[in-house]
Amino acid sequence: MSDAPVRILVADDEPGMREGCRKILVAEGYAVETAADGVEALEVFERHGDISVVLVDLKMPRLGGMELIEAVRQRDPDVVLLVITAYAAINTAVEATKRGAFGYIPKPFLPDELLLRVRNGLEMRALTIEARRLREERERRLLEVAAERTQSRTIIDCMTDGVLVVNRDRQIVLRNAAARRLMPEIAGIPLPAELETIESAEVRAIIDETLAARTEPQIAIREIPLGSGTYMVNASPVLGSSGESYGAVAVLRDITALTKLAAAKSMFVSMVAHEVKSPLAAIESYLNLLLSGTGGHDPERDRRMLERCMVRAKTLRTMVSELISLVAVETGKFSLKRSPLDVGAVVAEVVDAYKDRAAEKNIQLTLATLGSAQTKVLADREAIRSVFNNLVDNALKYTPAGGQVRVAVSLEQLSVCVSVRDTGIGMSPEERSRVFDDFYRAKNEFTANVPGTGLGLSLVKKFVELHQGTVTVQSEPGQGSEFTVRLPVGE
Amino acid sequence: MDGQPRTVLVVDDDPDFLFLLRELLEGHGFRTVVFESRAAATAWLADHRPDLVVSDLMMDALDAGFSFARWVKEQPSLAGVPVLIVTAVGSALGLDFAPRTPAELEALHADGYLEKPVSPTALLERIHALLGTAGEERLS
Ligand SMILES: Nc1ncnc2c1ncn2[C@@H]1O[C@H](COP(=O)(O)OP(=O)(O)O)[C@@H](O)[C@H]1O
Repeated sequence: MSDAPVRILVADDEPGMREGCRKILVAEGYAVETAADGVEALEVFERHGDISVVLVDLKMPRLGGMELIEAVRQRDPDVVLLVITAYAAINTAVEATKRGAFGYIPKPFLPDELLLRVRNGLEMRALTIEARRLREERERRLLEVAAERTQSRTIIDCMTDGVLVVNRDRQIVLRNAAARRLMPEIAGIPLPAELETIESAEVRAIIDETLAARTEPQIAIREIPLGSGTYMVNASPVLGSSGESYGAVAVLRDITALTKLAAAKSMFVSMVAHEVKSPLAAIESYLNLLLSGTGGHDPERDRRMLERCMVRAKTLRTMVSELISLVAVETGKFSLKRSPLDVGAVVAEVVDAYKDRAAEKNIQLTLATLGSAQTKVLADREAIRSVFNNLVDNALKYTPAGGQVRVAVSLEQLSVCVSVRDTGIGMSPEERSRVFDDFYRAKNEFTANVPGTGLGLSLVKKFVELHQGTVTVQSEPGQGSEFTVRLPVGE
Repeated sequence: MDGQPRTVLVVDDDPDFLFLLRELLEGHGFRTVVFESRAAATAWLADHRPDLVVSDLMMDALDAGFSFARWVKEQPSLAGVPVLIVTAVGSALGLDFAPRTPAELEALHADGYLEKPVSPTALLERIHALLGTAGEERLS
């Protein structure tokens, strides 16, 4: 485009004038079109589309110069319109300038005069176009910046972390929605606001430290209590391009859940430590006594002590495997191997396996399958078996000799329902509410003599829930207990 | 010692320890009364006075042994009865109850502190020492 010659249109009904102008302009390197009247001029103008300068004679047939000027101006605001006029018509030329002509050239004129006006006009045109380009670009940039600003503000506001920006004069200059929620005292106040407005001394301190460290930018990270939670505050200096500090930005992240998790974890470890240490201490103490030979030799008594060691060691082993399963379930590492499973059949196997134990304790163990409907669910055989093993095992453990344990399998609308009911010692409401807790064991004279880990029912609940099922308990002290498991069918 | 067997009350929710201590102490001429809960022990203590109390630490509550010890110390009828805490918790993570100085022990209202597993000789030594102290106190 820039290499193409500037195209000029000469519109004059006088052939001599047209030719004269054409020659002068062509000699100067311009491309020149000519037209004998206004209508033709407009046609030529539209046909070429790249005409930058139009020389207009005001007196032309068909479409007069004045009309042509307006028509051209309408089509292209940047075209340079020059009126060629006789000295007598100067007033009209002025009028034409008002309507959009760039200037006029009084006739007669010298070639240089014409060229000068054309050059001036073109320069003017270039300047106008450049100015407009710049203006448009600036406007576009401004729009972009404005959009970016609202965008980043929206992003900052949508962050779940609280964000605070403080300038070097210890004034809050920005606080996002999360920060307003966290520190209601700075929610409604106009900015900038004094740092002192913030109630938390810890937050003020960490910002002050960051502001104070001007020479060496330092990032401070601290855990602080805020409201009812625990927050991790991370403050860093806001640095200019040459490294000077403009202030500090603090990000406040809610780590309450994490802190609670960490506390729960160490609580769990403490409990494991205690639960593991107790049977170990018992075993070791028995062995100490047996080995020290203190208290004479009573083979009957020694045998009983060794048997107790055996019981405690077995419990310990059960506990370790239960702990491994529990941790696997909790960390999501326990992968269920689901296949169509006949729950009724698994329950029957479990009940069968406990027949001897029940007989030994003189407990009547029965299984009832209500209806002949199929009891297939998509489930992990081992997990389901351990669920019912635990429930039947507990029912037998916590039922004194002479009692009954009834297992029933039935099909409900959307689930297979298995209940294990015993006539045992039952539970108080307090005990009932805690049976599914890790390590919980009811403490009374009866349970004290029953070995257990307090993890069995935790696992039962976790396994059942992994299958989107539920487990509930009904029990009264001395009236026996009933555990009910529901597993959804047709998944 | 006046020839009369000394009575040791033992509270522990682990029946194996009750069995163990009974075997050990009765084998050494003590009389034992054992309980699986603070409640049962407290009830018995209402109208009995043992020569020594041995208590587990972590029973129905984390520090059940210490509050039981304090209760014993607060009973006028049990004045001068030494309390020995025996525990498997010891310094399990985050649960460091082990007193390190006599002052700390006193703050816990206990006269002695032993960790499980118990060695028969250590336990007997400690019990004799405590009964000796208690005996002297009774003389003065
Ligand atoms: N059928 C039941 N009857 C009475 N109490 C029960 C029964 N099943 C469980 N419990 C109570 O719930 C506690 C937790 O059970 P569980 O998690 O299986 O651990 P444990 O190894 O002690 O049996 C038991 O210690 C017992 O106090």
